Amino acid sequence: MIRDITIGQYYPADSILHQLDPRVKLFATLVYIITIFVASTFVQYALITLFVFMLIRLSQVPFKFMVKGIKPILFVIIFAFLMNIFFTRGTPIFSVWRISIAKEGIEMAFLMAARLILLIIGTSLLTLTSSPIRLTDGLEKAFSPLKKIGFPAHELAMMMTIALRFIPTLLEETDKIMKAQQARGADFESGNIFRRAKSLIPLLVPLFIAAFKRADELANAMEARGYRGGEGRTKLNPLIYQRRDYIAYGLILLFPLLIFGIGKLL
Amino acid sequence: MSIEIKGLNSYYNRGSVYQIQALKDIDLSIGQGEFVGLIGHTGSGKSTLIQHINGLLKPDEGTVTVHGVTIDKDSKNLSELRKSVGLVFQYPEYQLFEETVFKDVAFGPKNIGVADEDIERRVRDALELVDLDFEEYAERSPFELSGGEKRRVAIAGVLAMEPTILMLDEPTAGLDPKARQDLLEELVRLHERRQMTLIMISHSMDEISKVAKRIIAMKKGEIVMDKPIEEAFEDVPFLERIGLGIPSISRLFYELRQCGFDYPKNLYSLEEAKTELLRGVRHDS
Ligand SMILES: Nc1ncnc2c1ncn2[C@@H]1O[C@H](COP(=O)(O)OP(=O)(O)OP(=O)(O)O)[C@@H](O)[C@H]1O
Ligand SMILES: [Mg+2]
Repeated sequence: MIRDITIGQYYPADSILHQLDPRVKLFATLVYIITIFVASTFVQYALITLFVFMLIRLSQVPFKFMVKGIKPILFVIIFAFLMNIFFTRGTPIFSVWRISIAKEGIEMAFLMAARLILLIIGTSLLTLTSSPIRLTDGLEKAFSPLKKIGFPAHELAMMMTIALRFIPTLLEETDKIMKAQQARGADFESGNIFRRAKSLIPLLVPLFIAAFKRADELANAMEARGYRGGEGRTKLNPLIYQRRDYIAYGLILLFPLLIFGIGKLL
Repeated sequence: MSIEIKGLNSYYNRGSVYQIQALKDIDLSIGQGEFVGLIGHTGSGKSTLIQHINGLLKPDEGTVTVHGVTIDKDSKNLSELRKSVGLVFQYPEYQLFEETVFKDVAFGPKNIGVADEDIERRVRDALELVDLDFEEYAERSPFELSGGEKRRVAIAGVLAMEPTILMLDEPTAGLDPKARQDLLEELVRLHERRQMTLIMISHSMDEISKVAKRIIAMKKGEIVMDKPIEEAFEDVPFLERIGLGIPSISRLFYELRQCGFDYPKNLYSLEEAKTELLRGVRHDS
């Protein structure tokens, strides 16, 4: 269920993708997302898919972890797919009663689905190959030039680290409270959507209370250990670019050129 | 037999790299009206075991039969079972959520379909059992109570379902000595008055030895000892080997025996200790 979401779940391995500086991977993800949204032909998508498969191989992460990330949003993908098929106007190729299906609709539907799936797999690849700590370090460093104009880079990174750190804790807590309420006869599984929403109250109230309490305790513990924000703070493992990182930057810039270049040629 | 467990194996995260076998080949039967103390080092599988008894966890292998209802790998619809098996979790005060104590205690009975007229009576009874005055507490918010009071409200919430089997996971953890004592006495009263089957997990041997009639010890997912209380604390080296202590009174007489005094092996209660020691003193003078 909730545990199936791959986003934010690191898969430890020792591949070249794992070793890359997180800033490189963040930049790559950005370029990748833009490329996906600009791409518009089947050839371009096929090329992107090919690249993604190569990266997955390189990452040494088993393929099933990628697919896991798609499962929770499968519904959205199917919904978008159907909407596009039925509600795009164009040259009809098939029509029954008042419903007609256009050629453009089918094309659009497949492109949208491909776009969403590639988006999920690509971004999962980022979080699967970078530990949350390295990722937030990367974000902090990437945004630190903006500190001069008052952008709270360190604080945001700290918030993200804490949020990621508490996902498993909160899942555990949810599991515990759910069981305690089930032992009192609560039923989270049956009934229509309204009943089910209502049945969540005995779960959510204690969960929120526990979360606020934890936040309070953590704030106190941090203060007791002298935390005063990012000013003058040093790191145990500072991020330093290696040669492979510069090479990677070059390749990343080539990626859209390649996709659109070859896409045009074919 | 009200609880019958056969060949129970249970795993967490089965099939993943993080797989842990929490219970190994458990065979156990507990009769109606027994008072069982479940002890064991932390991580030995005690909480896992009792969650199997009311179907919150399902056996990966083997079966659990409670009041004739058998739970196996793919049992569904265990609500009938949960009516008769009450489970008070570790730190149960975290499950409170309603606006008033009354509503919170009534949550369980309502879920199992108790009629409205009967609910008030049940809430009254349950609050009385945990020594909270109905008039004073019923309309207060559970969140403005002290830790000990919250604990009692949470226990009342389970008692109000009027289970015939009650299991408690470290019910006295984090309570002050007086509250502990009170709670233990209430449990004994429940056991005697209602012929309830009680299973209590505790890390305190002193506490367990005061209330339980049968002691089951677990280690690494297995049952390593299952004896009536009179014999449970005889083999001190064994208990220490599996990482458990003994009640302070048993400890005292164990040490005295080591020094060459002649005392029986199975002493654990304060009363017996008194008689034995006084006899020893009279003998000397
Ligand atoms: N939700 C869970 N996910 C994974 N492993 C778990 C989970 N709950 C318990 N375990 C593991 O199963 C084993 C038995 O745990 P259990 O909670 O039953 O121990 P316990 O005897 O109740 O310990 P304690 O005295 O500390 O409460 C432990 O090794 C524990 O790490
Ligand atoms: Mg436990």
